[in-house]
Amino acid sequence: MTTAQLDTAQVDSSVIASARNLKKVYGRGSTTVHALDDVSVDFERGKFTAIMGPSGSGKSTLMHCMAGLDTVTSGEVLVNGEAVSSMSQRQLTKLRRTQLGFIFQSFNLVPTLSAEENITLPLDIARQRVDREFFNKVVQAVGLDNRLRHRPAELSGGQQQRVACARALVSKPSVVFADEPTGNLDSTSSREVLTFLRSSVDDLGQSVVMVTHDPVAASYAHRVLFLADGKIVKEITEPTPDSILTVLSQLTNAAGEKH
Amino acid sequence: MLRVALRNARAGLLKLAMSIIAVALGTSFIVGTFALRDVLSSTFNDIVDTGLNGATYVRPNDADATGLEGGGGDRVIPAALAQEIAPLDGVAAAIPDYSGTLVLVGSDGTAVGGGGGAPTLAFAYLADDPSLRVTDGVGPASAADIALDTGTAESAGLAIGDETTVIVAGQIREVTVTGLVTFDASLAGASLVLLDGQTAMDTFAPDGMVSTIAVYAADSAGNPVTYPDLDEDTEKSLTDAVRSTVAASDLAGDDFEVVSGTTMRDDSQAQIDSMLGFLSTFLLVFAGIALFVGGFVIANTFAMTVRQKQREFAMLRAIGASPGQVFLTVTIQAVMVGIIGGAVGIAGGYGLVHAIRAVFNTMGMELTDQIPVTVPIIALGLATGVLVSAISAAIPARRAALTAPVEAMREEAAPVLRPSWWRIGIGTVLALGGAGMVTASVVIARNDDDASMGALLGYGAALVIIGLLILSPILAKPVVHITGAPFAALFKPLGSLARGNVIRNPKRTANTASALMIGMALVAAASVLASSVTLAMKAVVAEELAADVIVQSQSFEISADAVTDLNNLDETAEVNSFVVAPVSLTWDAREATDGEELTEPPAELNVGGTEENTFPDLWFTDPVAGDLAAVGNGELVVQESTADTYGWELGDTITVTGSEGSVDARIGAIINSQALGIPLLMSTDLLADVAPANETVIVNLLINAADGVSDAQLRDALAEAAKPYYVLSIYDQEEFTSMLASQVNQILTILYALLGLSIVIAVLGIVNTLALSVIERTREIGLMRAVGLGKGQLTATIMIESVLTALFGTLLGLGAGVAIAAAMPSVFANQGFTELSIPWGALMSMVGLAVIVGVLAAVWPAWRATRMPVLEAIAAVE
Repeated sequence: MTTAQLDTAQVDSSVIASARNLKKVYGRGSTTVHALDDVSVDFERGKFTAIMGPSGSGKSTLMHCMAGLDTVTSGEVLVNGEAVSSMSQRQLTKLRRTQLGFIFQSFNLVPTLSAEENITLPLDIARQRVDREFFNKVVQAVGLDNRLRHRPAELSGGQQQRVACARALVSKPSVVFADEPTGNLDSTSSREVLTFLRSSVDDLGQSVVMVTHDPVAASYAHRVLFLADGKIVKEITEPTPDSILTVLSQLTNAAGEKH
Repeated sequence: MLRVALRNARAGLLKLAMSIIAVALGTSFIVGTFALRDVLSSTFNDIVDTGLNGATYVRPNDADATGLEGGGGDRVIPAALAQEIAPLDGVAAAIPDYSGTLVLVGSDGTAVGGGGGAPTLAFAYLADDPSLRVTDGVGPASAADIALDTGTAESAGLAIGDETTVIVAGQIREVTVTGLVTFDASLAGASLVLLDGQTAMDTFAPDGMVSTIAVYAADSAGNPVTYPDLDEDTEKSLTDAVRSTVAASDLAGDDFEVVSGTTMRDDSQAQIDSMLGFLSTFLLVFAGIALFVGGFVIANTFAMTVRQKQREFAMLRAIGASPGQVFLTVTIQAVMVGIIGGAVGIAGGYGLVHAIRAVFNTMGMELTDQIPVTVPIIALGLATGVLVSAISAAIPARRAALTAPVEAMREEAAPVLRPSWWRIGIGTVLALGGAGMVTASVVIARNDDDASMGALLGYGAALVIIGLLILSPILAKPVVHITGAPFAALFKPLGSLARGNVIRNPKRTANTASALMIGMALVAAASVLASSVTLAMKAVVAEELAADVIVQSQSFEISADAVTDLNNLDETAEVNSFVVAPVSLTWDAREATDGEELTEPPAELNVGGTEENTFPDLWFTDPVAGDLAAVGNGELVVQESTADTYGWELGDTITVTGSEGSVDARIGAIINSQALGIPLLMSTDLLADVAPANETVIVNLLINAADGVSDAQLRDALAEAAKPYYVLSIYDQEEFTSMLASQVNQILTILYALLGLSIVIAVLGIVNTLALSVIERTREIGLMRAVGLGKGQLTATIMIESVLTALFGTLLGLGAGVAIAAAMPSVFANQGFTELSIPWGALMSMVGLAVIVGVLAAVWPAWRATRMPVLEAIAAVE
């Protein structure tokens, strides 16, 4: 599956989320910025996809639009077959409860709740029963068994981010969106979080989309998409830090030649 | 930097609106209080200046009466003294005060001022009295004439030539209005009637004794000169002359003195001012609460703006602004808020006074229309507004100024506040000290019936409240934890989220709730008090009032003719009366034991008289000692409290002396009756031996129906017979208790008004706190929305927070109020407060009110929170 085949792709059981001719324009007239310029992309079910690109390339905007956190100027976003881009606030809330999980760069937890309460928060909000077995499995996987009663302030940055990961997974969403999840972490904590995200894909069959600018973080993914100036310009599968760095430097050179 | 500050203030003026409202509210109460005080003070001072405009006065020693209330002072001055003063050089007139109260019937056939309140005063019309001028018609010349004050004539709907009825000394008289007089001041609701000199003299000074003599100076032409045209030297020399004349007179006595008009006026004004001082203190306490919460709202608002502008401040610091300059940019905005809020508040304060004046006017109490707009009051209003704002903004301003630029750019959450030991210490000492004082007052009062522990209880209560206010940030966590439990259980997971938010900053929660706490404490104490007093009264009346009906008069005096008329009815079997008359008492003082101080005999005491069979046929009270047949045996019945005060015992002999004579009587019974407000009782016949009829006032009639007469028949007959007397009210037992209860409830109404005020302030505070906390939690809210929190759920969370805050203040306040009120039955047992009754229904509705207040206060902050776009919320301050 490549970007060239997208136009003909119908609802495909191997695709968990997709964008069609997605445009996002900020400003008007001479100050117009095309944050996303006719982007079409599919994210595969049960795969870990990374989105990379230089600052201002539109990688965060793409993720926000995919996740229904931001509105689109034109085009269509589908998550698990549902058209996100045309949803009302109420439908979006429902979508977030049932289909999506989020991990942010920082300030990921509610400070007044314990780690356990934070993890079950999406289920509590949606008034759904907590699947204890799955909960334990997730908690064990992130290694938080003995930290559940702690408040976020009593946890390290890595532990907080692992709580956030657990929270994103516990409601068994169709897809987890992670926005620079390791941006605020040291290398050890980063490794823990990324390893966990990868294993959630490999072991639990979760689909994960992650935005990052760190080649090492991106190398944990199955596939890396490269954005520049609001367009998808390149993708590689089964990446390594080196192969990613090579592509990045090519992109930088290409950009230099263009100007 | 000034430009930055002003630009900021202008841009944020709308955001500062809440601060401005808060300052304006507090300021308007302060300004209103002082202006109202001035209005009342000048109203009463006008009356004093107009009524007491003589050069010299003869007045009783230790005079505590203003001389305005007819017959207010002790009547110890021989009126004949006036005839000795009048011929002195420079004296225009010496006017004895022949005055008292009467009932005037207006053109609508009802008693003027009949609803209680301001009295109808009667004065003698003496042609040479310069304090009253007949402006229309002629003064009253005979018992069939009266003159009216212009205002009184208007409110009574009477004009010159009209015929009407007055009831003077219990006698119904048909009279004609012959003239109108002008009194150059607002009478504060009192009505004024002039009787001819002889009638007034016969009625109000039958023994020739009066309470004051006013002496007026004459100018060279012999015309009277009155204050304020009087010069000081004239007044002084005239006073000296009168003093030596009085001292040399055969009529001289120890119990009266001669003072200058200035002294007389100053004393009256001082007395009025001290009465008003109490009122202002009470109002200022509320102004203080308003300002405290106002200051807190300001501090909150500025904390909010400072947070929002943290990066801007950091940038300013980074490019070289000093901390002082940053501090100033914030403080200048606060000063602007103070000036605007203060100005609005001053206008509001005067508006408030106008409104109060209008309310008083509709109640027939006319206040002066000159509302003083004085520089000190305006300065006070502005200074309060500016100071409160500047001080309140200082802490956030300091934070803005001192945060290092880099720190400001990356700071995330609000700093966690730890409870300070200082707060715990002081708060605990005050609260426990206050509780100790309350307990002490209860213990002392229980052991010693005579001990008057009201003051100790009051100070203790005040300390408890202040201590609780200081402790409330520490109490917030456990209390909200418990009150939040039902919400946490009912609304999962919103309840526990909301509870966590309320507990997160306990100091802020406590400050927010403080206005409600004080208001609720006050109302709880008052409603417990009212409910207990009502209950006690009902119990006593039910037990003691054996008669079918009781009759009272709105003028507090029942005419003797009315008694005769009612007695003559076929429907009545017995018409007994309680009468009171002033007497003096003497007795052989018992040897004081155990160094116990026995109270000196009073100079004059109002004692009661009643028919021999009143006890127990119409009034039942179980004697503590002796036998109630004592009344019939020419013996005395005394209240236990009175006996204790003077050290009397059963069997003692007391000498009762009145204007008519003196008798020795034995104490034949000691009673303890809360409903019978008379210290000492004897038979009417015995009282008549010592006190003349004109000094004896009939206060109550107890009536039993004749055999076979139904209650309804009795009432109809009584109502018909009482009609010509205009002011008589007929109550059966139930009506009597509900009449007493409604008097108690009237006082409660005032307190409910003040509670209303504290609710308005509390709502402002809660709205502000929620708005602040929504802004502080922008990212948290965004996060929760991202993980699926719906708008309705967000609204519910914020409303629960608000309700929990309101409930915290309410429960703390109600708890403190009820606890303090629970001490009252012991402390005030000797004042008829025997049983504790806690009005649970009323208290529960207060809690319900708190919930409503909480929900209302949350509407706007919740609406704002739901309108925040999810992405922006998450990205905020990143």
